[in-house]
Amino acid sequence: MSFHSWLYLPCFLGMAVLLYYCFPLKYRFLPLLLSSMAFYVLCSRKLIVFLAVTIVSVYAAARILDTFNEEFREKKKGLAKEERKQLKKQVERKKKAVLYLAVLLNFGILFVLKYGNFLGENINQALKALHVGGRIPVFQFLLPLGISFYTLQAAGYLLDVSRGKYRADKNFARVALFLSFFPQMVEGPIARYDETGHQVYEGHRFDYETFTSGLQLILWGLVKKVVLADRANMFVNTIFKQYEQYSGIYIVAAAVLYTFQIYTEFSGCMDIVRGSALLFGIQLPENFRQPFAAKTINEFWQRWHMTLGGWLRDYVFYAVSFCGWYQKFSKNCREKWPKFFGGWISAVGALFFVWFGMGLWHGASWKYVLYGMYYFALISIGMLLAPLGEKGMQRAGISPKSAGVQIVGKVRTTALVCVGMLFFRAESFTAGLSMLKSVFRDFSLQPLLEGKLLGLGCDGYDFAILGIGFVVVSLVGAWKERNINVREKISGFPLPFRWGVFYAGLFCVILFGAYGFGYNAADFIYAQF
Amino acid sequence: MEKKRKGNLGICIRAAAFTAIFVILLILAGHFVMPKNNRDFGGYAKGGFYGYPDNVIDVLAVGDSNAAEGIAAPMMWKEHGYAAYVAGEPFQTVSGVYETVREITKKQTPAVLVLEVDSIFQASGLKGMEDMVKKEAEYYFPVFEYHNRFKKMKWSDLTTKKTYAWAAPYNGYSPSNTVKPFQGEKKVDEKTIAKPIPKSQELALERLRGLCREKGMQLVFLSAYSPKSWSYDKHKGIAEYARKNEIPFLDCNLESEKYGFSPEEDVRDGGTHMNTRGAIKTAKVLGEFLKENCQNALADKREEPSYEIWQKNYERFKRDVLIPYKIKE
Repeated sequence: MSFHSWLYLPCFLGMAVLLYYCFPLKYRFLPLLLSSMAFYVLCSRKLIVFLAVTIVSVYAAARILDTFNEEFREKKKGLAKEERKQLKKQVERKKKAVLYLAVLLNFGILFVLKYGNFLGENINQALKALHVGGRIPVFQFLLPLGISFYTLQAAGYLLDVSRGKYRADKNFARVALFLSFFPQMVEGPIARYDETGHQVYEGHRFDYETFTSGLQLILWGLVKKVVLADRANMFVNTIFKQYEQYSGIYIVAAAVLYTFQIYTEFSGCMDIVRGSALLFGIQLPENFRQPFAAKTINEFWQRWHMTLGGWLRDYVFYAVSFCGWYQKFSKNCREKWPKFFGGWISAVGALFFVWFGMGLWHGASWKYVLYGMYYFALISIGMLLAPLGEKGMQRAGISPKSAGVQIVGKVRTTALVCVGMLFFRAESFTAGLSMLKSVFRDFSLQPLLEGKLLGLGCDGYDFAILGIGFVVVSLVGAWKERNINVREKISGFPLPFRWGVFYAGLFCVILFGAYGFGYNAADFIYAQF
Repeated sequence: MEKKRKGNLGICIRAAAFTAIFVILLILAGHFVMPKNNRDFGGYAKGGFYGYPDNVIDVLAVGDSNAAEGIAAPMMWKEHGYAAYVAGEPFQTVSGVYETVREITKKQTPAVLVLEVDSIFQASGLKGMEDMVKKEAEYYFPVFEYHNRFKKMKWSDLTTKKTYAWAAPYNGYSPSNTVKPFQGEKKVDEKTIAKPIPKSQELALERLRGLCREKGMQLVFLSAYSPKSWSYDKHKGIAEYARKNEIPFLDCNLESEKYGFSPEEDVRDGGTHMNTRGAIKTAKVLGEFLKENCQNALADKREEPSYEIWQKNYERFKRDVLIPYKIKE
């Protein structure tokens, strides 16, 4: 059930909200849990069994981990330092066993269902290349809805409990709701238990301001998804489907438009998701913070899909950096290499796991792994060259804060992101490579000036709408970057003007939305991950 | 407390006013974007029924492309004197059929509704449910269906009155002279398990049957000859539903040889759609079937002066299609 569909917005969400506010405050978690389960069954049918396994296993494992933490806390009192150390070791060993078991079970399900086929095909190809007889059977499984999102959320909860960040929840319904809250199910955001766990469970009173804020956010999300992303998709699809026929400016335009499409689509979906949650009085974390205002690739990833980036930072980067064998490796690097270089290798080594995970998380294909590696390479090179760049600017007397440097940084980052998106969207890595090469073949602005880009899925009207949309999205982003809350501003307008803005938004979606006959509306891209 | 109550009342009034204005604007926008001429509706001959005189359609055939291209309705007039009209649309679902019938029966009083059953499997699951909601919204607010016409709009469209005078030729049927034979073979295995009708479509069928009861129409199922897309499990699923609900069901595929359908000559695209030769055979077989199963509801209207449009339609069909395609009547 797509979030921009007729079935979700007026029907499912409408009924869920109505049911929520009909229940007494104390029991409002019940309709929310019921709606979440209904949403899952409607979308994934029997595959709900995998979500159930995750909920039960995570709840039980967290409770056991909590018992171990408590046991240690109780027993350590009055013990000598050495004995305490010994006890901690024992408890840590037991905790690790439970944690590994639960994490392995959940990631195992994800791995088998999402990556089993990919792994099997690669093993078979390797066997064939090595002229080894026999093939392992390869199965294509149906992927349960949101498995990549809720598995990370579940693992985050377990790791936090294990680390003693907070205590395990004794309330089963709360854990179940935290892992299955329906607006988050399809595309995240990947929330932490201390962010949303209690929020989703406690009853919220109807608050007019919050409720209308939610509706406004949903409307803004619809504008981005239905009017802009789905419209850009028509041109992007035409070029990427028959990429062999195009080169030069056509490929550049497709890569730029795809970058615009995926941004407006994913951030639009997040607006609908966060808006849906606000209707219940629940605040979900933001996933985007004006990513195209970033001056470096590193900064871009701190603004794009922030909850995934944050998860990988906390549970992969730190986990690798602080584990025993890696600390030994880092120490060795610093001792054997010059200080800067040794530190760089140590940091880059941990980053490798982050970016490998980031790539693989997006899908079971070498294309996605290489997509992760592309950013790994850019960030690693960026870290290596940063001091050189700083010195160069110092010598030339250019301030890194000057407008020129900032603009160059933003343009360079956007261009590099567009190249990454080209590979992300291409049907395979080799197709992406061939498209990139073809940019430099017969490059000319002539087709653009002669209007030859029109008619490739989008006509003049479509490009005009995309152009206006680009300006509006950029303006809203620029205001947000200056901490101006556009929705608050609008709510300060006199009623006729305020309503005028809302009606304009509504009719923008209704009249200019790329839906219905003649349009091939796309499903949400991130929903497939 | 009093202040809070007043505040809540204010919110309710504001919400009601906002919604009311929104609905009015939706209706106005619908008037603005809707085609001003019924030739511009698109599809096969969508909106072509508006140009027919009131209460002259006795047999209304609905469905997807298999209906629009599969029933040469003018031949039903020629053979049996049945005033039949085909309102088929590409990829039409049962929900779409329901809205079409609802619109047509505002001015027409058909005695028999023939549903080409391919529509039943056009949507399933959530897509089917979604389709039902969407079609309902489009029925009340046409702006959702015709919004994309903003590209063709002129300011004069605001003031231009609608002229829905065009009557679709050939009783809504879409002719074709192309022949591309079907290469496969028909598979009928008695052990085949019936394919159940998708729940969403069953719900839509219930609504359609309710509409038939309300308007006094007899519902008939037809599976037009389509050797490529027909399957025995679908046939069994539909036959089971038809039997349970006492709906006469004519399947031109199951006994295609008996009815004289030829996979070599009667299809235009390798077996999915019929050409005019096949569609004429369907019209004849269907006419006989209706004569047997709906004899109380239908009558030969060839002598009635108010039905003269059908004779004209048949003559035009003969002139434009039968003679150029060299098809003997």
